[in-house]
Amino acid sequence: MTPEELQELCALYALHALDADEAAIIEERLRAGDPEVLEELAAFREVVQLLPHALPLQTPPPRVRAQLLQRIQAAQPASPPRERATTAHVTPLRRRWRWQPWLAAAAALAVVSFSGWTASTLHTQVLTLEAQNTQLQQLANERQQRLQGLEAQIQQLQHTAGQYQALWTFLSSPAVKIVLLTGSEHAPAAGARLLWDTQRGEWTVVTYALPALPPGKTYQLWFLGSGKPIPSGTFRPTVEGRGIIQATLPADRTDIAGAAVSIEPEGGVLQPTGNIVLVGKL
Amino acid sequence: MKRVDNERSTLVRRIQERDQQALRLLYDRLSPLIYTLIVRIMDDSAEAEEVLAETFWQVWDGAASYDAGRGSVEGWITTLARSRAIDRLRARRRQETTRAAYEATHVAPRSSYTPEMTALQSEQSRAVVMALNTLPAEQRLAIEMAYYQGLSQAEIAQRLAEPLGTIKTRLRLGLVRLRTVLPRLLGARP
Repeated sequence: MTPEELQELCALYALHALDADEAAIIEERLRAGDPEVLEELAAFREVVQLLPHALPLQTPPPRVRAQLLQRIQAAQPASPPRERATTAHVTPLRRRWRWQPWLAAAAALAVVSFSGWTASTLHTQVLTLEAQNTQLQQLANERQQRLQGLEAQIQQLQHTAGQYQALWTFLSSPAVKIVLLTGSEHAPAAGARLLWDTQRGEWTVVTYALPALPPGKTYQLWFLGSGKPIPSGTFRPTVEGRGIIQATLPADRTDIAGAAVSIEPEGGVLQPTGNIVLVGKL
Repeated sequence: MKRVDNERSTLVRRIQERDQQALRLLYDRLSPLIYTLIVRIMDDSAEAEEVLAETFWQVWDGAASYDAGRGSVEGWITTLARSRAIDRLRARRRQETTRAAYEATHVAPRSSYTPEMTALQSEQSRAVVMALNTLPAEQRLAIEMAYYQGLSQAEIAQRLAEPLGTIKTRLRLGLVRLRTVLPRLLGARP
C-alpha cells in the first residue's frame, strides 16, 4: 500500500465512510499499534471533530436539561448526594429514622417513670422537626430548580452577548464597506445591506421585507464573479422578512463584482435554479 | 484550547465520581454545539432533543469509558452524539420507504456546509467556516454527505452518480486541505 493509499483509508475511516472490508484493514493496523496509522488517524479525527463548529449554533430547550437532571436524580442510589448546595441544611431521611430507637427508649423510660408529660413533649418536638425537615427539603428543591433555570438563562445571555460583541467589532472596523442589494420584480419591496470586510474577506448580508417562502424552499446567497455564480449559505427570514447571513470567501477571490439572493430548494444547490429576489453590484 | 480541554477532562473525572454539578457544567458548556450537530443530522428538533438527552445520559452513565489519551472531551461527546443520531437516521430511512426512494433518486446536492449563519459566530467557528470555504464545492459536499448523512463512500458515489475513485479522492483531498489550513487559521486568531 502506498503512503497515499494509506492516507486515503485513514481519511475515510475518520469520516466513517469506509466499507467494512477496508475499515477492517485500518482496525487491524490500529490493533497492531502501527504508528503511521495512529498519527494519520489522530490528525484526521481532530479535523472531523471540528466540523460541527461551522454550523449556526442552536440552544437546546431548557426542558432537555431539566429532564436529564431529573433522570439522574432518580437513578441515584439512596446514599446521600454529593452536592453541598442541596444537602447543607437538610437532615437526611435515614438519620431521622435512626432516632426511633432513642424515641422508643425515651418513651419507655417515660412510661416506666410514669412521666407522660416528657413523652408528649418529645413527641411534639419530633413532629415539629419532621415538619421543618420537609419544608427545608422542599425549599432546597425549589432553589435547585431555580438555580438550574438561572444557569440556562446565563448560558443563553452569554451566547447572545458574544454575538453582539462580534457584530460590534465587525461593524466598527474601518475596512467594512456597505453595498445595497435591491429587490427584483419578484420581490420589489425587499432589500438588503451587504457589509463587506475587505481585510478579512468576510461578508454579512442583512435583508428586509423578503416575501414568505413556499414550503420546501429557502433563500440562498450567491456571489457574482467572472465565472459561474458562487454558492453561499441558505437562510430563512423572520415573518417580517428580516434575515442575516454571513459568508467568508477565499482571499484570492478578487473578482467578486456583486451578490444576489434567490429562492432555492431547502438545503441549497450548487447552481441557481429559482427566481432571483435581490441583486446588487459592488 | 489546552486549558479548555483540561477543564473539561476534570469535569469528566468528577462525573466518574458521580458529581452531578460537574455534569451540569459540562452540559452547559457543550450542549449547544452537540444539539446543533444532532439537529443538522436529524433535521427534526423533537428527535434531536431525545438524542441530546440520551447522549448526556451516556456521558453520565459511561463516563468511565472516556480515555483522555484518545482525544478531547468535546471529540468524545461529539462522536457519541453523531453515532446515535446516524443510527436513528438509518432506522428512520429503513422505515420511511417513500422518503428513502426519494433520496435515492434525488442527487441535488445540499450545500449547508456553506457559511450559513444566523448571526456572527465565535472565532473558532469562523476559522472552521473559512477553512471549509477554501475547499471546492464538490469536496465539501462529499465530506458533508459522509459526516452528516452517515453515508459510505459507495453510497455517496451512487447518489452523486460519480465513480467511487473520484469520491475517495474528493474526501481525501478535502480532509487533507482542512488539516493543513485549520491549524493556521486557528493559530492566527487570538
